[in-house]
Amino acid sequence: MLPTARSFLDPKILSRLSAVPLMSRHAMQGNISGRHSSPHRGSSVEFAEYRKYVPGDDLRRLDWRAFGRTDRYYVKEFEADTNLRCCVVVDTSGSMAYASKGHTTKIEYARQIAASMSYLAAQQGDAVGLACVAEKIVQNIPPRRSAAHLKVILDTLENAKPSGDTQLPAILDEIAETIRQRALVIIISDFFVDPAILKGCFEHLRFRKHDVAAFHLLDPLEMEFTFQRPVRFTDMEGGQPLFVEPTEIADRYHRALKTYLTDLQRIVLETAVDYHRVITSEAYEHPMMRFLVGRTRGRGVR
Amino acid sequence: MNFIQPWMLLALPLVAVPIIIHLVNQRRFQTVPWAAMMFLMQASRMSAGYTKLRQWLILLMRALAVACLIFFTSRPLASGLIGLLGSRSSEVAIVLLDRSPSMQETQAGSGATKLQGALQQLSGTLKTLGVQRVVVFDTASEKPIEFESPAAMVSDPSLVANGLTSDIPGMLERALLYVKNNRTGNVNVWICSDMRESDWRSRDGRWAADREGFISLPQEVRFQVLDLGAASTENRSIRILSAKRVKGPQGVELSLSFRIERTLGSGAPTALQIPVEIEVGGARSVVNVDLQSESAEVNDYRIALSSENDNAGLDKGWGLVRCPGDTNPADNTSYFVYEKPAARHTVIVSDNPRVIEAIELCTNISPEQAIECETETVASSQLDSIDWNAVALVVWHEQLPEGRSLELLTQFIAQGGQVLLFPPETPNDTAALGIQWTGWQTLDSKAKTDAESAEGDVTLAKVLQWRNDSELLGNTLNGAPLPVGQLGIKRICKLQAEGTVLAAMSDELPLLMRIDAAGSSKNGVYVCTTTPSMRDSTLASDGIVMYIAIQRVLAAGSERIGSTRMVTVGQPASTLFDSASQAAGDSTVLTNQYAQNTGVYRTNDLLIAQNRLGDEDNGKLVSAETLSSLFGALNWSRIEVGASARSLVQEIWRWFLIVMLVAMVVEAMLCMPKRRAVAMTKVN
Repeated sequence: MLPTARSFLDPKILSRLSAVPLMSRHAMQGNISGRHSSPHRGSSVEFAEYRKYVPGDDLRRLDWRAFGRTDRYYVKEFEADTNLRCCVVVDTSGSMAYASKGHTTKIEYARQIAASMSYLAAQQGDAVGLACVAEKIVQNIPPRRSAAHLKVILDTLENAKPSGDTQLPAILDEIAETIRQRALVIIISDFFVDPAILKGCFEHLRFRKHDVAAFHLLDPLEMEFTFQRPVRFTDMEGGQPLFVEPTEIADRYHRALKTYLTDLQRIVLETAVDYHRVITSEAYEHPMMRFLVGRTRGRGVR
Repeated sequence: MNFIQPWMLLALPLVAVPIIIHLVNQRRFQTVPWAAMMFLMQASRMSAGYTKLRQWLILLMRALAVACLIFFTSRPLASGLIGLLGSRSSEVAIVLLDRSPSMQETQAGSGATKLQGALQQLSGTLKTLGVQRVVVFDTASEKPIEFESPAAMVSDPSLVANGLTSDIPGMLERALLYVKNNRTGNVNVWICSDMRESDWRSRDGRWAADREGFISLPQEVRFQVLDLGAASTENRSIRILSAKRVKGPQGVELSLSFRIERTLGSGAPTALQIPVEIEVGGARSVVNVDLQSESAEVNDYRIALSSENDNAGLDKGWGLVRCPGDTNPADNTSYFVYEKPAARHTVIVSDNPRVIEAIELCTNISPEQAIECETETVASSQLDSIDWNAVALVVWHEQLPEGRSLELLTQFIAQGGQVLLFPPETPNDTAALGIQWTGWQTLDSKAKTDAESAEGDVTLAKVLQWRNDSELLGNTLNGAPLPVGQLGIKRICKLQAEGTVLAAMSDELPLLMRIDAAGSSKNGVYVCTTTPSMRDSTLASDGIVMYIAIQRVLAAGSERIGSTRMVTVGQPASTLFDSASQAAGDSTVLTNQYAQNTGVYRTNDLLIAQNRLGDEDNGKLVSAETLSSLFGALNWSRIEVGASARSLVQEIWRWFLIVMLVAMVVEAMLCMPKRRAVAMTKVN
C-alpha cells in the first residue's frame, strides 16, 4: 500500500526500513490487538501470572491443576498485545527552512523522517497522528489507523511551510496533556531551545507515560561554522540581525554549541528520551534505521 | 639608526596596507540567513579573550612584516651612534686625523693603538657608507692626503702616529679652504681624536672663524667627532725639564731635571716606585723615583761626565730618560742634549748712558756660575759689524730700525733671536717690527696707595695688571710672584701694536708686550713702553723685575747660540732636518718625517733633541660642554668609539630579514585553523 508519489518518500528506502518493525519501548494502551505490549492481561500465548479467583471471573480461566495442588482457586493470566498510538511532532518554525549550500533543508529532512515513520506505523496497523508546530500547534491530526488517514498526514506534511518563532516547550507541554493515552511521541526539530527548559517538557511527556523519541536536526554548517569573511547573520525566526567577524567569534560559537550539545545529551539521558542527533548531510535512512533497530532490542518491557 | 638608501623609507606608509585590507574586508560582508542564532548570541556575549588578541597579533605581524621588508630594502646601519648620516652621505669624506703621541695609547682588548683602531673603524665605516674618496688632513702635512678608497688609509705609512701635537682648529681651517676651493657637495667631516685639550685648543681664536666659515657655506657639512678619549688603564709619562752641563765638585757633571706624571685609570693613586732609566752617551743608569701622587719631579740629578778615557761626550752630547713601558709607549721616553754653555751675548743699541748702565747691570750679572755673560753697546749704524750668530739679545733704545738695520734685526728674530724694545726720547712716526710709537704720556697717580700719598711720593703710577703665569713676568719656580706691583711708572710711550700684553697700566696703556708675528703665535720681540731711566720709572731702582725679565729673555735668546737645541716637535723649521740623521729615537721613522717625531737628530752643525709638547702629558680632555660650544650651530655629532667593533656602523638588514620571516611564520601560525571538525565529530 504505497501512497501516490511524494518527493519526500522513497519506496526503496521504505521497503528496506519495513524489514524492521517499529516497536515501542514501553507498554502501550491500544484498543485493538497489535504487536506492542499492553499493560493489561490479554489472550496471547505468553503466560503472565496467577491471580486469586474473585467472583465474577470467567470460570473457564480457572487453573484446575493449581486447585488440585493447593486446594485454592487461581486464575491463569496471559500477556496482551495491542496496537500503538504514534504521534509525530514536526517543528515548522522558520529555522527549519535553513540549509547550507548543497544540503537538504531541515524541514524537508523532517518531512522525510515523519512521512517514513508514519508509513511504517500505518503499515503495521498502528494509529498515526501528526502535529506541525511553530509558535503554536499549526496543524494537529489525531492518531488514527485508517489508510486514508495516512494520506491526510502526507498531504499535511507536503503543505507544511516553515515560518514563525519556535515555542516548542509550551507546545510540547500542551501535547503531553492532550494525548489521552500512552503514545509514542516522535519529535523532529532543531531544538534551538534552552536545554534546561526542554528538560521540563521531556519530563512532562514521560510523566504522562509517553514513549518519547527525538530527532535533532542540525545542518553541517551549523556544526562547523566555517565562514571566513565578515557576515551579517539574519535571524530566520525574525530576531535582530547580527554582524560578526567569523574568525573572531568561531571559537566562542563552537564553545557555546558544545556546551549546548553536552547539556542536551545529559538531559535526554536523564529523561530517558530516545535521542538521535542527525546531521542533514546524512541520508535519512540511516538515522531511521538506527532508531528502529535500537527499539527492537528493548522489546518485552512492559 | 640610519640608512644607506633612506628614500626607500618613503614606502613606510605601506605598513598600513594590512590594516586597510582588514578594514575593506570588514565592509565587504555577506548577508546570510541563519537558524542557529542562539549560539551566535551566546558567543557574542562571551569574553573575546585570546581571540581578540590573536586578531590584533595577526594584524601586527602583517604590518611588522611589511615594515621589516621596507627597512630591509633601505639597508639600515646599526647603532644610534651616527645621526641621520646615511641621508647625507656623499662620495667624498674629509678626515681630520689626530696623530699626536697620545693617540699611540694601546686600546684595551684589541692590542691596537687608538690611531690604528680609529683608522680601521673609520675605513670600515666609510666603505659601508659607500664613500669612494677620502681626503685626510693632519697637522704634519700642509696639503691634504687623498686616498682613492677608504681601505688605503689603514696601511698608509704617512698616517702613522708622530710626536706632533695636533692642531684641530688649524686642520678645520684647511678643510674649510678645501671645501670652498673644490666646491664639494654635501660632505661629512670626520674628526678622529682622543679629545685632548692640547689638540683641540678650545681657547684658540680660530674656532670662531672656522665656525663662521662652515656656516656660511652653501652646501651642508656635517661633523662626526669620533671620540677615542675613553680612559684605559694607568699611563705614565716622563719629560725632561732641563739638562745642563755644570761644574761640580767631582768635575764636569750633567744636571738633569725631569718630571713623571701618571694618569689613573680608576681609583685613588697608590704609592709607586718607578725605575727611571737614564742613558747618556751610551751609558745607562737607573734611578728609582717614588711616585706618591699623580706626579713627581726630580731636580738637579747629577751624573758625572768627566772621564779620563772618554772626553768625547764631555763638552757636548745627548741622552734620554725612560720610564717602564705602559699602555702608551710614546710618552715613556724624553730626549735631551747638553753642551758647554756659550756666553750670553747682549747687544745694546742706545745712546742714553743711564739706560745703558741699568741694562748692562741686568745683562752682565750671570744667574749661574757656569754661564758667562757679555754685553756690547753699539750705535744703530754699527749693526753690520756684529757677529749675529753669537748674539742672544738685542736691547733697542733708539728710533725704530729702518733699512739695513731693520733687515738685520728681522733676520736675527727669524733665527730665534730676542729683541727688547724701549721707546726713544723723541719717537718719530717710523713703523717697524709690528709697532709704531705715538708719543709719551705722563701718568697720573691714581694707582698710588694712600701710604705713598702720605709719604709725599708723587706721580708714581703702579702697574695695574700683569701675567704671572708665564712669559717674562711669570712667577718664580717656587711659585713666588715677581714684585711687579712695587714698580713706579712716571710716564710711558704710547704705541700701536698687535701683541700679547704682559703688563699694563690700564686697559689702554700696556707696559710690556710681546709682539705677535703673522703665522706664528710666538715671536722674540718684546716692547717695554717706558725706560729704566729715573725720569720714567723705577725699573732700575727696583731692579729685580727688570733683571729677571731680561735674564729670561736672554735665556730664551741664548738657546739659538751653540750647537745643541732642545725643542718640541714642530717648533723648528722642517728644512732643518733635510740632511739630518737620527741619533736616537724610533728607528722606523721615515727620514722625511724626522721633523714630526721625537728623538735626537744630528745635522751638519747641530745636535737636536726633539720632544713632544708638554701639554701631551696632561691628560685633560675637552669637556662635552666645551665641545658643544666649539661647534655651536654647526651640524655635528659625537661618537664614542670602543676598541672592539671593526666598524662604527654595520649593515643590519639581516636582522630585519629575520624579523620579517619570524613575523610571517608567527602570522601563519596564528592564522592556522584549529582542528574543529575532528573535535565536533567526537562530540557526535
